[in-house]
Amino acid sequence: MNAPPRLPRAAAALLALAAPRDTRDDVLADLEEEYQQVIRARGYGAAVRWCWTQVLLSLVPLVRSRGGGRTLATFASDLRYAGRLARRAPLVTIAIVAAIGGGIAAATAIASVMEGVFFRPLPFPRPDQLVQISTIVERFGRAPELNYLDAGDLRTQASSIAGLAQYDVSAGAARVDADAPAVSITVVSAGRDLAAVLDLVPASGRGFAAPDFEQGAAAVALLTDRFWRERFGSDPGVLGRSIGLGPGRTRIVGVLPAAADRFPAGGADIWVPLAFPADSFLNQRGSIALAAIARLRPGASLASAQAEADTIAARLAQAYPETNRSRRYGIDGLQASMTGPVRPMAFLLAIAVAMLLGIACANIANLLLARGQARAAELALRGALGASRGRLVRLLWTETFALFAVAGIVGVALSPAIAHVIVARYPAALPLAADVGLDARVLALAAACTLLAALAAGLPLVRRLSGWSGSASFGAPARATADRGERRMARLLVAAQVALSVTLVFGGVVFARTLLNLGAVPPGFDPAQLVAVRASIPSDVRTGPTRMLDMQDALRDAAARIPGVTQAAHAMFIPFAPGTWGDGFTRSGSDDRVGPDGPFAHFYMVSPEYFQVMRQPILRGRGLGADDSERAPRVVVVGETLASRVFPGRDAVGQRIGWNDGTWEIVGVAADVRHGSLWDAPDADVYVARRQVPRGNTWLLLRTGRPAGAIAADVQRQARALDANIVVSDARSMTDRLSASAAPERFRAVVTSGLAALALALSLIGLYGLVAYAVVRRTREIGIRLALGESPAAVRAAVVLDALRAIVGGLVPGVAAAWWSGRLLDASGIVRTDMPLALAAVALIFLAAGALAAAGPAWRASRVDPIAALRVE
Amino acid sequence: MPKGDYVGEFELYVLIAIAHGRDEAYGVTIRQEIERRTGRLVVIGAVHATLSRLEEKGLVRHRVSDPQPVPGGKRRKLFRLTAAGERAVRHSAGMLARMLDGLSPDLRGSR
Repeated sequence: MNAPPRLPRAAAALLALAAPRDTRDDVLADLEEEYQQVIRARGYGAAVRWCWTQVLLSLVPLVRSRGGGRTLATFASDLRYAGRLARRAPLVTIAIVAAIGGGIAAATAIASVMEGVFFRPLPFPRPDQLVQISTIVERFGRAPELNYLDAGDLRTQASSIAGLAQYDVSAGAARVDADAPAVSITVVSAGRDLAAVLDLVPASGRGFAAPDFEQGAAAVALLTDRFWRERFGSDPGVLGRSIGLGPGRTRIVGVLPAAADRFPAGGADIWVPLAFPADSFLNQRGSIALAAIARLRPGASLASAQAEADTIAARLAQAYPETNRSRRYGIDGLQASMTGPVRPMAFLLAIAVAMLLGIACANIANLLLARGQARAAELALRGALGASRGRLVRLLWTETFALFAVAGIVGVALSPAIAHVIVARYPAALPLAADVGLDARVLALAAACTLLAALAAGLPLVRRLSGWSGSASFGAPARATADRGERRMARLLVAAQVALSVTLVFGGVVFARTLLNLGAVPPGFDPAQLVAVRASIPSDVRTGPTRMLDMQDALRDAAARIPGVTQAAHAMFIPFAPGTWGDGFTRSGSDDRVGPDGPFAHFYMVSPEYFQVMRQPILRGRGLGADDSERAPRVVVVGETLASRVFPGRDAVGQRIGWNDGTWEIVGVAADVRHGSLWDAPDADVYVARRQVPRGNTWLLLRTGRPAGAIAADVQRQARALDANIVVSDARSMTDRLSASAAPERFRAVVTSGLAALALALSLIGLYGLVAYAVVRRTREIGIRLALGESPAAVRAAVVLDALRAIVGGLVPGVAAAWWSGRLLDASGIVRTDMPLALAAVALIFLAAGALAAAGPAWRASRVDPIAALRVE
Repeated sequence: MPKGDYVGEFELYVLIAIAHGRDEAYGVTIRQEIERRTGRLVVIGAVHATLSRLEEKGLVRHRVSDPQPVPGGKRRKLFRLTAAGERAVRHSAGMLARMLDGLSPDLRGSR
């Protein structure tokens, strides 16, 4: 049997803290005993609630019973005094609440987003049994997909897998009403068991049944809860209605429960049955194209499932060496694999915000210290009237905690707005398991942050107390020479701010430079004034490949006639849009094998005008022409990378490759193009004439100075004239697509630069305060120096030097920390810039800014009138 | 009347609950007894704070029981009234009875 549930630890600790020593054990024992009784009588949840009620309401009587009646009264009086003090110096109060409140708000917002992404379980029954299956191919790494036939073998042979389903997520277009323009949607092509594996039951209507997956079955779809709410206004009469998904009409047979919006990451709009003809490439061992999730049997672990998958992979490698020889499967928890991609960004943000909070704390600590100094006389008076040191310490802590509590409440109140901005502005879909919001854990974290911040910021003040409560300070509120220890503490706090800021500013510089460097990478084609539009040509139109090719060409020619369009081409895949055709090939006359060990390339089916429209230079040989038709000899153009990788030291033009059951002659070499991201070096590419490998997927590429939206409307009009069922969607300029591909880098750059600017500003304000205060405190000393003949310039230099010393004190540890974090960032592969240069730039920024911050006080110092200065006391 | 015989309302409830417990009263039974009879929420901290106070006033005293006959069983503090405690209950109950005497039954709140 299980051990009985323990008391909530925090509640027990709180009670132990409040209870007098002689009754502590008895109170805890009683609480424990009754807690178990309540669990048996009313369940665990009720017991936890009961326990917390008991503990919280017990605090006051217990504290009172230890002679704490006076403690409570003192506390209340200190609190009232803190309130009066806060009102008397509203600027200081506002500064503290703004700096700390802002920090707590940012920290709480990040925490609630991370809670929603990482720590809340996915809203499916028994979510820990859900796994994602990926394929690991030697040399090519991990693909988040699984071959369809391999999936069948895993399903039947792995005893630790209770159910396995495949799916595909794609962008599509839907016409909700026959006449309305198409809207862009995300479509999940759901394999037979997808709903069953996730354990989802439709909220209304029915799920997919076996006949829905058969070839030629009537088209049916399920709406996700989100799409149903947003596009159909939660209309319960939606079942049986039909929508246009590409060709024909698709009947809506059910609405998915809200939980389905959490799968896949970012959710989808519509589910359709995953169906393909028996001769599809999906039905061959070679293709790895469909994602797969599975549910483990109760009691099965990731490790046991992985071990079984390894055994099955070895068996398949024996049975199908051509395709499966270097193939293994990776089994990961579904949530872990969904959240994996956002992990680095989330932790980066968390660290940056924690550092900002640290800077704010150091800043406020200095402010409190200065205010404490101004109150030295008051504290000395209290001491002289008999207040013990402990009593004064308690007063100072009460004041600090009260201020920080207000700041914490303000921060928590602001945090949901910030969290929503993060979710909305995040460059990709966040895999949120639940809505972002405040819950007990996030609130506890916010409280802990506030408490810690108050401790950190209040400690220097309390430590300095002994310096003031002595009678020395009494009646001498403006001593002429600054107290040594106090100056050292203030300087230390500024150095701490500088150190933390250096790291943050370094991060900002690195990410901003990375973004700039990325923008300077040439994509290999000319993206300016180039619009790409997707055209879905219905399958009834494309009956027969020739008919489809004619339709694609007719569409291209019609688009080229649109006013403002100078050139048009079409292609199966285009750069910076999802989708490629990766395939193995052979060099003719070599012992190459098709498969993981042989040469590999991405194949692009393009119309003859493609290279002109893209302005992609042909380096050797020729491009593709109208003559490269169905009946003509089969030819390809290859990219530079492929030419040098596969035919090193030889001219690729004239060579032959074996691919797609035929031999192809290389007639030209084209300049390299980056297809997926500006990050990655160009890959091996092959361009094939569309007429020689007919496929349905169609992108139109148009050279035009007109905006994409206007062009899309014109293209749609032209398409309608050709066939009423052609759907035009996803119209965007190439510059837009390029810029979207850098969205993560831009997000990181904007966020880190923003935080860096805040950090820099905070630490400079801190430095300015330190220097200005020092000048005021040393007025007399400066006056004497000037009277003794020191030049104003020397006084100015001394003040600026003083400031620079404080800066350097922080620069040294800051640069070390930045250097170390730079190495971490470098290893993470998300930045690309010259680190030492960035570090030098940051150091210069701080020295310059420090001198600037000191300039004003230095000027004032040099203008001190010696007579007035000596008259101060 | 000696000092300490006067008790507050909640103190009185605790004293009576101890009397109901017949020498076996401890924190849990006292809390539950008062909660059951008065129908109001009673917290464990208030019970223990009151027990300490009553012990200081000499109205109750405790002995420590043998460990409970289960693995890891704890010793309990079992409370009983002192003579002064009994006197205080009698005194308060008598005062209350005399004060209520002659009131109409519905004001007396008896069932």
